[in-house]
Amino acid sequence: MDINRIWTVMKAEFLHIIRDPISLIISLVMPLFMLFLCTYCLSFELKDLRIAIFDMDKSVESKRYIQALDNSSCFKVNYNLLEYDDAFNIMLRGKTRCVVIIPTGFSRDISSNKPAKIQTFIDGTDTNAALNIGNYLSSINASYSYEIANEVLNKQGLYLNLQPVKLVPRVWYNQSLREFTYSVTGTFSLAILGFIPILSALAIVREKESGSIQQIFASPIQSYEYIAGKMSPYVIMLSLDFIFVIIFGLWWFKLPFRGNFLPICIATFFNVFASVAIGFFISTLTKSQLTAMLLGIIFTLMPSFLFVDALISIDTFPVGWEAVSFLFPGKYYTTIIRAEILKGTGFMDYWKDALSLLIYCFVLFSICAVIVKKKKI
Amino acid sequence: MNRISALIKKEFIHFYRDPISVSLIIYHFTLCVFLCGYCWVTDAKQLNTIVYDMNRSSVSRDLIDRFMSTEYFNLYSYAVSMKEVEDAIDQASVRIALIIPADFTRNLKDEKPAKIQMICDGTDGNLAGQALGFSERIVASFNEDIVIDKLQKKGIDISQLPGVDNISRILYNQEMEGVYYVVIYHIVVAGLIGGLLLSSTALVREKERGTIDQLMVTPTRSWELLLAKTITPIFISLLATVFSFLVVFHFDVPCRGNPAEFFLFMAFFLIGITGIGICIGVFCSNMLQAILLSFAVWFGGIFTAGIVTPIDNYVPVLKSIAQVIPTYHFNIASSGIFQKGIGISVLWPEALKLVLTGAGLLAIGCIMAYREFRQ
Repeated sequence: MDINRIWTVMKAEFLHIIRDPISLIISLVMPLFMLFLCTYCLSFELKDLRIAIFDMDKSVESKRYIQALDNSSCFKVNYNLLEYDDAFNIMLRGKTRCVVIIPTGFSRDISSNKPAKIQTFIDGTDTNAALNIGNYLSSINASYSYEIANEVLNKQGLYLNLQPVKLVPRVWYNQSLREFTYSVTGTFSLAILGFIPILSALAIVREKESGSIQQIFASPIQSYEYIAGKMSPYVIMLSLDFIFVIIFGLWWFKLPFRGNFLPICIATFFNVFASVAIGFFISTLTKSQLTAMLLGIIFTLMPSFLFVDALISIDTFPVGWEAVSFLFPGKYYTTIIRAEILKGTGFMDYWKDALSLLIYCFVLFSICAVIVKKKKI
Repeated sequence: MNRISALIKKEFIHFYRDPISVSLIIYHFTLCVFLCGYCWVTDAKQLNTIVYDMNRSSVSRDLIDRFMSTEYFNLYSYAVSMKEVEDAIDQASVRIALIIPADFTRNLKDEKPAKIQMICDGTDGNLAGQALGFSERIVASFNEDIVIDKLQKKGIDISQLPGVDNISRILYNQEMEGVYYVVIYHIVVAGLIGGLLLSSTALVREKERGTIDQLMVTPTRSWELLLAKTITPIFISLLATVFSFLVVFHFDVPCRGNPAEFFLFMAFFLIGITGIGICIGVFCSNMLQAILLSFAVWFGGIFTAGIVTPIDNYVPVLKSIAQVIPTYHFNIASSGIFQKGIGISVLWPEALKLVLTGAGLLAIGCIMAYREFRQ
């Protein structure tokens, strides 16, 4: 191995990269952009969801009930309907996802100590939101019912515990149940696998197109030195970029940080390495820059959303699809950084993933070197 | 007119001679939607649960049964120590732990609050939140049964107590099939990337090869060229949408409205997207830049459009951004047509907004391109 030869290839590749400053800037800024998008716009919990009320009763009791809905963090009473048909019109236009109808007789039933009926319509198009709305509504209804039933019982001199069993939820690793923590840590992994391979896929194929690869074959440089030299500018620049993005993300979103920073840096380095290597692998197999980009998009950009455990948990996949995620380095990386950032558990909890990531890097690097060595290009 | 049709023909030839664009478009409109239909369903179902029952009474078993008989929880194993519970969660083999303390039945008898504990793995906040919501419902109905029982012993009938009896109805998707919405919005997402990629690369391709100068010296006017560059991506994307319907059939997604109207809205939507694509094409000088930038815009378009998350959750700035993004209006329209069975008679405001924002974006794109041609 000759460091000088690696150094020369590295310098040449570095020049190639900075000659297209727009692509470089896009790739470096992209992770930050995605971090903000995914954390600010992707959340499944409901907050201030606009709901519509059709109050036919217009009594003190119905006002009190509406107040209970409005006071909850998840709903905001935004529309007061005047006609029954409006309930459907407003749902059809997608203005609201939930309409609560309080029929006449609501206050009469309550003051004569009977269960008062109300009706709700929930827009089922987005099932995730619909399930959450249903859950929130039923818990608001339950606590409202306990409240008014207790008032009646107390008047009769009866003191009964209406909530005998109490569920004490404890959420680990994420006490306040902020989805931030999930999407921030997921985005790190998503952005690495999503964009790096498209960029690095051009590295070797560019030389193939211009024919300068023949000069490489004629020179005394070894294939692994060539690959190492070509990879290093990408790996160095992008790992530094991502370590910066991680520090920035942790600071900006005030994530609880429970582990060590060094393992995160090392894992980031190897994940960037693996992603660059995927690009190189594509690059050695293809004949034109466009094909290389295409394969990069098909095999890494889209799957990175699904298979790196970033935004969707892999264990909710149907049987069989889970196995696909083992093909992507991002899956191992996500486990490692979540363990370090959120759980703070030690190396022993994720050594398998760390080892898999290392093997992944090694295998892919060797394959690229072998292909170049055989000159099957 | 002859010149325009010749230019459009030329664009089509460019498209089908380029296997890369053809495969990318087909991939995004079919395989990608298909993959997401299988994997991008975020409903909490069959969550692995470990149970640590220190009480071991018939009441606690009844409560556990109520949890496990729902489709949301799946009994993973019974733990015999707290350590076992902690390990199972740390190693992520379960997401949920249900712990019933030893004094559970005694507290119930003594009218003291009988606490049970639920531990959720909060790394995936969405699943944890849903699991908590379901468990609260289960516990509430368990409580109701106990209270009814107690009240009866005291001679009070539950119907003599006030309360709210909610009759909840799910509209439009009664069977609560999550995959429908996922498939539908991924067609929207495919239309977005299709329009962006096709229009931006069509412009950049000419720049890379230098053929734009040759076009400039022919008698074609700039607006004729731009018209061809707008119509072709729209037409190709609409054609690709036909293939998306294969996935729609595969997942048995019902189309309650008129599919022709869906195509109409898709065309309205693509006007604006092509406008953005032309802007990208003017700005970039090679394919790599155009593709990277298209995908960047694509991300923005998906995440700020209230597709995955209702826009009510957004911060105010993003709410107003969503209003001027064509994706937001198109998403309302597409799930309206597919799931709610409505058409342009109800959705005309969306159609109007799509056409207006689309015309605006296209105008910006064309002015930028026009200025570049002049140079």
